[in-house]
Amino acid sequence: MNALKSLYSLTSHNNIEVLKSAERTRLTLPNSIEEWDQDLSQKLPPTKLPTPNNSNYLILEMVKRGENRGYLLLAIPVKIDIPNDKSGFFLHPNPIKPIQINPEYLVGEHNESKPELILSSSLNALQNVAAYYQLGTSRSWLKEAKQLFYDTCEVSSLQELTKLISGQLGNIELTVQLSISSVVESEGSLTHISNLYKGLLADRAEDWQHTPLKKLLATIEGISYSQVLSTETLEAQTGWYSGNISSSSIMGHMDTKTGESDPKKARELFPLDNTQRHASIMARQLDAPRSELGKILAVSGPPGSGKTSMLKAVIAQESVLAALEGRPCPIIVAAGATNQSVKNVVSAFPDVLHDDNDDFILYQRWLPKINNYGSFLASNDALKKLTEEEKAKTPVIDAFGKEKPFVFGWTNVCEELNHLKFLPEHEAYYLAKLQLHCQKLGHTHIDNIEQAKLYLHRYLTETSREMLAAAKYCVTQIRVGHVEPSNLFSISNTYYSLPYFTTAREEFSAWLQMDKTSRGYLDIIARLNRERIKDEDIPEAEYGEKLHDVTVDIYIEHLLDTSYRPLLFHIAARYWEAEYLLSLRKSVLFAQTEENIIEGLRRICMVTPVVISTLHMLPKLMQVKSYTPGSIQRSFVYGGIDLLITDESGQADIRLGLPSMALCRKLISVGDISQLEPVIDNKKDISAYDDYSAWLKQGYSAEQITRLIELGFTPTSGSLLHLVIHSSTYSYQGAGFMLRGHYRCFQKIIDYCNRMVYDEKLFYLPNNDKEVDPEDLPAMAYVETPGSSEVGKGKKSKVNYKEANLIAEMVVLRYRSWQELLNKGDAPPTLSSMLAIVTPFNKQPEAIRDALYKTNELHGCVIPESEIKDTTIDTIHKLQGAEKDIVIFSGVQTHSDSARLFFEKQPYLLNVAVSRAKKSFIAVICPKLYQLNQASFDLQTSQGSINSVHFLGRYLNQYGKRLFPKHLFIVEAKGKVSVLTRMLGQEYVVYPTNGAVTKSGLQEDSVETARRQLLPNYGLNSNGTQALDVILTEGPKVKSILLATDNDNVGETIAWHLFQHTKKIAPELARKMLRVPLNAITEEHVSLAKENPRDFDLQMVSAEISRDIIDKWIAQRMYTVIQQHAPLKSKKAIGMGRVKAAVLDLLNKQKMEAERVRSTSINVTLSVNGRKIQGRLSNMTPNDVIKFQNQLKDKNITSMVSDPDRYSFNKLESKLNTYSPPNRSTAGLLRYAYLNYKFPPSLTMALLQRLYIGDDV
Amino acid sequence: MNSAHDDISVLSSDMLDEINDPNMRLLFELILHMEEAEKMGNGETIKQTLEFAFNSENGQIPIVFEVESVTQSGWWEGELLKDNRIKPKLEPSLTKHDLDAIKRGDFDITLEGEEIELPVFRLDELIEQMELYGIARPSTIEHILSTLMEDSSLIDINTNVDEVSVTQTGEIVNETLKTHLGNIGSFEWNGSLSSSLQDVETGLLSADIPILMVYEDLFGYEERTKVNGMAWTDPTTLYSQDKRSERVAGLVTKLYKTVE
Repeated sequence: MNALKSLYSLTSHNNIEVLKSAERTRLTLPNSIEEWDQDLSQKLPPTKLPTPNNSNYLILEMVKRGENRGYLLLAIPVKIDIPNDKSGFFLHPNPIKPIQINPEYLVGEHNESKPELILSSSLNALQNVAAYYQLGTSRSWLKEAKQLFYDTCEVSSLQELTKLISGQLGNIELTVQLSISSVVESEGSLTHISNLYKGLLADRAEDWQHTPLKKLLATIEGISYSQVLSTETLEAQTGWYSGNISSSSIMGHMDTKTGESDPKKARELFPLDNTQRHASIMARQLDAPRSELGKILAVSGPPGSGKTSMLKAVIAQESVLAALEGRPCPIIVAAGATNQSVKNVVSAFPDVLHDDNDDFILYQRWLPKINNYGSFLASNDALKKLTEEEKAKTPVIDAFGKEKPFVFGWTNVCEELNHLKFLPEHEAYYLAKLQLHCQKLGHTHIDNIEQAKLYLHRYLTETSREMLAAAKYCVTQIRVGHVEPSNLFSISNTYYSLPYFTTAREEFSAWLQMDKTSRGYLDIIARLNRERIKDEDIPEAEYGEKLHDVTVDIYIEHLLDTSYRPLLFHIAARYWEAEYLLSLRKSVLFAQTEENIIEGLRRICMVTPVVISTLHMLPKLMQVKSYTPGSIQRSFVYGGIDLLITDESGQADIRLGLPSMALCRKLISVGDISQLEPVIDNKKDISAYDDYSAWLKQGYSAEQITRLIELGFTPTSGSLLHLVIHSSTYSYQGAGFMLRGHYRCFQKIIDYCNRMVYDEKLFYLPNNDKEVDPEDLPAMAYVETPGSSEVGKGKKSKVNYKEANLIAEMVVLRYRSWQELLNKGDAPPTLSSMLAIVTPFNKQPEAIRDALYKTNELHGCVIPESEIKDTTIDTIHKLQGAEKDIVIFSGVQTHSDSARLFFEKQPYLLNVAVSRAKKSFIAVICPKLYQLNQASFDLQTSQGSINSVHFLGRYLNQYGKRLFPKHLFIVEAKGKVSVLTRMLGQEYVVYPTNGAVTKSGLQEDSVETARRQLLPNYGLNSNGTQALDVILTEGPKVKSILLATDNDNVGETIAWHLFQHTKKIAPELARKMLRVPLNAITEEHVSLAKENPRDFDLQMVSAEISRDIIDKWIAQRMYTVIQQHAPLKSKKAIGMGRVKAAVLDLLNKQKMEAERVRSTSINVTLSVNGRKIQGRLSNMTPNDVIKFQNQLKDKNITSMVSDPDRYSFNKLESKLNTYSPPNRSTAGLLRYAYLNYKFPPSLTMALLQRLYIGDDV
Repeated sequence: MNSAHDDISVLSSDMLDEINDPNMRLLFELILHMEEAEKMGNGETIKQTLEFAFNSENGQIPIVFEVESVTQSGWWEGELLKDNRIKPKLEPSLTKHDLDAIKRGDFDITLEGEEIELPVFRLDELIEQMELYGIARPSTIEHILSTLMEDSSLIDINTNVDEVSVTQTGEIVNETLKTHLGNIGSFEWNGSLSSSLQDVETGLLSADIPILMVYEDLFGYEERTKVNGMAWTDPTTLYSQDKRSERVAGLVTKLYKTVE
């Protein structure tokens, strides 16, 4: 009882944080401030009237001068009473809620750091943080509150307190402020739960003592009984061959539509696996245990473990058994803790339906319009979230009052089933179907519903006997050695035969004939007994001896699962349809009395054996609103639901889930405590401390509360499932049951989860270790995030925009190829059906969606916008229970932003994220943060419980594949990187060597050095070391390493050196290297280069190496000569090399030649026919030249006409000259850029480089 | 743009409009002009050389007059040479009438008294010569020029007065090298080495040949014969063997005890 009260107080709790931000009405301070309790219990002046609601508080704050809000110290729940004349208002006590002192200002472990101000440093003060008082007058009520407050703070007046706080805050001026705070009440989601709590607390406890709530509450108090089952006990339940059972433990199952057009493949049903079977059997046996064991079954269902299949079997069985035993139709409700789980359950039942043109009439629905085996009690919100397709497939029900002749009715697809006016029509429809069925079987015609019901009951009974006989006959046949498939286990031709049945029967027959030491025999045993073999470590040699008989039993069960059991379900379904039609004739249900609610729900379940609801809505289903005279006026129909199934119970807040357990007789909770916990906002809802103090208030000791927290029994420490597991009536291998098959993801995907959180207990289908495409869509893939995270809008959560863009581009560019890879039918799959994008940070989904819209537009809208809109891009929390072929995980946070991730120690988050992916999980993550490049993957030391983030990184390193880049593209110049990166796209990572990669340097000039240099030892310089590092890190992750250094001797040699070094260290990487010299940076040239790799040009390399050797020798020699011989004072700094020396020599020779010409020639002019032609008299001796010049000087003339007789004309030569245009070599360009524009070579070269790259023009 | 080591060509002349940087536009246009020049073809001239002899006291001294006249202007008409300093000065060719007069002796020859001006050597000419003699490779020429322009201790490349000259220090250094190294380091020697390396690159020559040739130049014939065996023809051998000579020596010096 106290636990219920604690939980209720936490349900209706108004957190101090909420109070702080709530709307408030300031009260005029009383004349005598110290008498505030008395003054406020009078009528208060009407200056401004507060808005009355159920969540009004009188709050006391200390406020700094000039501010409206201050330090909230005390909150007293009050009721506002405003008289009709509005002449003022009164405060009345509100005893439902506790008086709260703000725990933020009390010292204790709940505060991580020292509080800003301290009301009390005594740890005992925490005991007073919230207190309930008996209802009194407002005067006594406020007085009590004041006393509690003063006692806690160890003060005797407000003045004293103000002084104390002011002192703590550096003597700032503070004033007391009293106001009325009005918290907006959250109508809606918790209303029904709140009502249920009130009902439970108000009604007599014996009203719900027969429900699972009793045992659950006892478990909280530490009193719990569970029957621990042994493997033998469980196996004995199906001991057809190994034992001698007389009845089938499982009485129904549901087959489903596959969507295949081939009629032979149109339906499928896989037998239950061993763990599903055990759980289903024990679900049936909940009806028979000792009362102290309760009727509770906890089933842990890891991701993709076939929870739904198990639940279908359980529901089918309940329905069949009730029909067989002539009991009323069972009310079965499946309630999900989250919208996603409800969606999953809702989507599990439409496929059970057979088509109306099916050959097997019995399997069709005999009522019109109904297209599902589940009905959905949906809130308006939940309805809005259904897609049009889901809406069309989902019958929705609601509760009706006196305005309709039914308490519950359908509101959409099969709405006409509610109405009596259609009843004759529906009866006719039913009888017509029955008629067809009887004709086919040669049975007598039946013309009324009552007879039909009797017929179907008989038919059901006979079929169940037939099933038993078939199983027993099978055993007999084996014992006598008649093991041909049809002899072994025969079914009537008129039964629907599922593909698995035929295959299993043939395999069974073959297995029985195998040699017990043969591989085939042993493999089958290993497959069918995988759990036992692992758990008991049974060696292969003992298979035959220990597991043969059990294997026979399993085969028989598999054959029953896929033949008789679905048949039984369909016969029962027809039986209940008849019962529905009969019940409508029997009575109308107007008022929501207890009896009518039960009957109303039974009628719904006659049509759809299960009602699906959220935990929030569940109480609405069972709330009694009318009472028949003389009846006990209970608020709810306690125990009214025959079987309640809660799904994703590990995500169910215990506050939300626990009270509803009073509404059922039997409870099966499925879920997974290794997946996400309930989301509780510690600011807006309750904090761990609020949780703690609520239990404290109800008299729980600190030790008791510690136990509750440890076991996960409190709202902030665990979930509904935590409690149910400890209350489970039956347990096997630990608390409750665990499903251990895995049927969703490829093995590499789920193996991460299996190793991290499931202790390797999960088993996969043997053929599940595959990938859609090991390169384009690997099972586990990763991409290193390009950006860094930052604080997003609202400063609450991180975003990574570059990562968002990368993901957007990845999706847009791969959309078509994914469609091809994942195409199953005629129409290519939509984006929303293939993909979900999840992230741990709540601002990132928006960034990704925005980027996706933009990128898609840039690429010409490859993806229809509606598909993007429908695609799930959300936080991981929203996705539990969902599944997609491809899941992209956007990690967001980078190491540079913060080295710690908030979920490192919470493996369930990544467990959920990874296990959503059926075929490919693509993590876009920071390599450093996730330790992606940590080669060592030691399971022993890197268990997920230690750090799930590192575990993922290392797992991906070992078992994952980088999705892209797939090629390393090495160039020389850094300047080319950005343009090439853009040009090459996501598939390539471009890396610049930044020039030469080997060490170079001069040494002394000596023979020894020269000899050494003749065979250079090519050690890498720092550029080279870095480049090699990149090759060694990236190399294993890429398909090819493209050496795209320049197409000249230097470029060739750089590429060759990198190749040689790589070959020495990692020959396997050298084999990936391709030499692709680039001639131009255009898409055309780059793709041409990529497609036409060539061998290394060793002649170019030789030329470069020999030049380098020679240049070293020359430079060393020249330096020595200059230092030793040049008649210069300062010469240390004079460096000289081959080229420089040649330039010097060239210039010198030019100068000398000019000097020679000048000293041995004089200019002459030839005048002929009035035309003057310049010429030169050369080869004179310098003395003659000087002599001649002096002669003119003496004569004071500048020129002298010479005597023509001294000249003789020798010859005329005519020669054709050709002047080619300059070539456009680098030198040519340098020359003309200088000539025409005076550009220095450095400028020309820089400009040329930019033009070459094409960037930044 | 294509690789900097073949002829540089513009990939699409339409791209001019996309270039915002004015200098880059100029350079881009220059390449276009050079491409245009190539299309316009060669310039062709006839050079008439008149050779006279001057009969001095010391014998005959030749006098040469040249007249060069254009027969096909080709690329000279293009944008590349518009307003260019190096556009050749061309004259009308000598007529028969002129030649007849010369042959008749109907001419005057005036001897000019002023000193012949030393020609100024420009940067573009240096570049031209460097290319011509294979001094520096296309990929290093700019780096060498820029280094020389930054450090003017040996060579002064002065773009303000459009002149490249050797400094006095440069002359001394050049002289010293010549004295002690002879031809090694001269631009002719360098040119021949460049051409050998070119032959290595095209596969006409083994890399050993220029290497050993230079080795011999520097260390003498005898020393060269000792290293003949160390030559490598395939550079891959440089990586395929451990080339460190075996260590045959102690690792620390001997310790002597101090004797009082």
